[in-house]
Amino acid sequence: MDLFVSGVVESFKLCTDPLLMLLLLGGCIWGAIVGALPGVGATLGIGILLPFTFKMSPVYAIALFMSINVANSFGNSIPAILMGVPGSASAVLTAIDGYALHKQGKSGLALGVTYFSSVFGQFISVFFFLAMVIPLSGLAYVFLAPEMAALYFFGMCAIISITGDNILKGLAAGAFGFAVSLIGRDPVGAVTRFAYHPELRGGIDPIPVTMGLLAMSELFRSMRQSFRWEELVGSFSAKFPSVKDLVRAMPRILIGTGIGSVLGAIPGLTGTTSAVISYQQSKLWSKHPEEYGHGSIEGVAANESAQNAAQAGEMVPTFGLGIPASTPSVMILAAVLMHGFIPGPQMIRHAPQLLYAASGGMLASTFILALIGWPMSIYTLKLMTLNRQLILVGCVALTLVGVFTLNNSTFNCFLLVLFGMIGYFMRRYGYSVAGATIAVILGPGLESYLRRGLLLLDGDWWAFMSRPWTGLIFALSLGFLIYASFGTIRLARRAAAIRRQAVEALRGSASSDQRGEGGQM
Amino acid sequence: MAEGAKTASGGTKENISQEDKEKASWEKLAITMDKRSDLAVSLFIVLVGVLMLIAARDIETGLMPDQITSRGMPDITGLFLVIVGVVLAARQLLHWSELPGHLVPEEGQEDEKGYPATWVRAFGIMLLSVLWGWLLKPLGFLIATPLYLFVSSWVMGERSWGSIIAFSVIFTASIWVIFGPVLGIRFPLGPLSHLALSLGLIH
Repeated sequence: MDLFVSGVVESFKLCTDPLLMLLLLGGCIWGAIVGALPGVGATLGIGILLPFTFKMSPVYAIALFMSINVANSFGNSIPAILMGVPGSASAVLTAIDGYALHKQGKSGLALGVTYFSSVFGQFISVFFFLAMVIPLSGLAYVFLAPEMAALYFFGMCAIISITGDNILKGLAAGAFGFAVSLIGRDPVGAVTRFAYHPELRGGIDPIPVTMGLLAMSELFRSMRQSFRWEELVGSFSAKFPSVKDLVRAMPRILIGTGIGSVLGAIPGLTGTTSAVISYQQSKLWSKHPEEYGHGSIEGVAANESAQNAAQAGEMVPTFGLGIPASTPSVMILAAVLMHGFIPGPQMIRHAPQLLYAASGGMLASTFILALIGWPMSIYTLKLMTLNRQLILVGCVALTLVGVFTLNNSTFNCFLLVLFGMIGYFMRRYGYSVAGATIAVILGPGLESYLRRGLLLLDGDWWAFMSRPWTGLIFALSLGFLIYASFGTIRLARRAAAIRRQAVEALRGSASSDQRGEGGQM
Repeated sequence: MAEGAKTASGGTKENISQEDKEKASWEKLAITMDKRSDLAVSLFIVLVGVLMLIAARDIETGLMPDQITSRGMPDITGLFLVIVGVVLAARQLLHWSELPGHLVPEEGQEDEKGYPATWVRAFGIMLLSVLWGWLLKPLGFLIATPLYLFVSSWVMGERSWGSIIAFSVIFTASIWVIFGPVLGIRFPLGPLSHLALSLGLIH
């Protein structure tokens, strides 16, 4: 309880730091912009700024990333409503109902409910975050090397399971990332491995690898196509909704906030899942279910409150256990590592300022969004008139420059492009870049804890696996992999059905060709 | 569509529109992934695994090895990559002839519908990015970066010289100002370093 109260107090205290608030204002604007630009998103938004924060205080850096994440969840709904194009997957349902409202001339209603739901959902979820993450820090006293090895393994399995349809490809990606993490010094024996270049003797810096796999690969993939965002834009006018409309949406907002905060904390259930579940249950209990899919305010409210509350929920395992629950939180974990902290339950105990930075960053960003969110909804659309081609080139250049400044090393730039290229192929052919990245980040820790744990237990595998927490966490990991296997089986069945449809389509066209030729003859 | 029908079509309007219809229906079914490339990626994974297993033979186990040793994880990971790569390749080969042509149901991230996509553009930018890293120290930031931005913008299809030049110059100058005076980071200047020294811009 003391930690919760001090967490709340410290979070509010951070909101009184003018320099931090100014930084977070920039972060919110940047986050809303990257959320609103289709195909950009929080991962890229955080990745591009990551090297800039190297010389910053970790508190400021973490708070900045929180503000980008928070604003991104709000920003991704703007193109969803005004263009029918969600900025990210979690705004898909908003794109359906919100865009329908826009076409009915009710853009202001949709944007206003989105704005209100986002701010409310974010604000309440910060307290959920503190309430859920603090008990996890108590595990620091219980978790020794075997438990930490299990936790890191669970983290890899969870992210592999949720970020790809094909578990085999996900495992291949995870193994590839783990292989990259083996380069350099062995964490137990200090033996050099695979160091065929002098720069590799100390190991590969995870930052250029992370940014290459997550950020650069997406930029390279986006560069396959050349078009203008403004082709999707139309004109509109927006009036802030009435209090009556907001009150009507309130029950959905409250329930959506609860769903997002709790479900977002479960690795594997991201903002998208939370938003979908919230939307579905809202439709189930609605007096007007026929409106859903055709312009339902309740649907928009349920979706938005859940997806925004899930941002705080995702930070629970990220900060509490060192297990990222989504791709942006993989990037945040990389940032934590960059600033010299070791992810895990002990992190909050040893460095509570990171917890305050996370909760304070989210809280402050919510206040900022409350002030500037509505005008941003209206003016963000003007971003669509920017030249997409030049924006992409600028993002690549900024990422290259940022990585160079980490150590004034062009070798890091080559690594960035190399892993960007690898990530490009991974994305194109269905391999999980997030899975590979988390394996790079957690790999050294996993090996270290596994080997140290066995040393502690005199090499007894049974003693290692039969420890209660270790066994439970490994069982959960196996559960995730089995769950993901069902997804792979569904994918294989879908592919088989698609092949059958294609073969039937070919047979149909071949027989109509023959009938045509017979007629002509 | 049978190859005979396609080549024998002689380009009649009816056959061409049928061809387009089939292409469109395949795109609708998301049959857009190149199976040859997918197989190549699987084989690359096998190759990485094999190379790991070979390279791991040179790893010392240390004076006081634990049960796994320094070689253990490389061996396990290499073997795992070989097995998974073989399974993925076999999966692709099992269904190789089910559909004509080289496209199979999509498993990766699809391109935006309605706009043509080319790998040439993406690879062009990758190559230019490598060149930028290579030329950064010899040419300096103030020469290499605007050149990079200029050529990259052109590769991306921007043809307005005014926009490209303005973008290249303003972007470079902004980064120089933000990283230099504001964040205190110095970039290599290459042949301009003497000039900058004499002007007192650097010490």
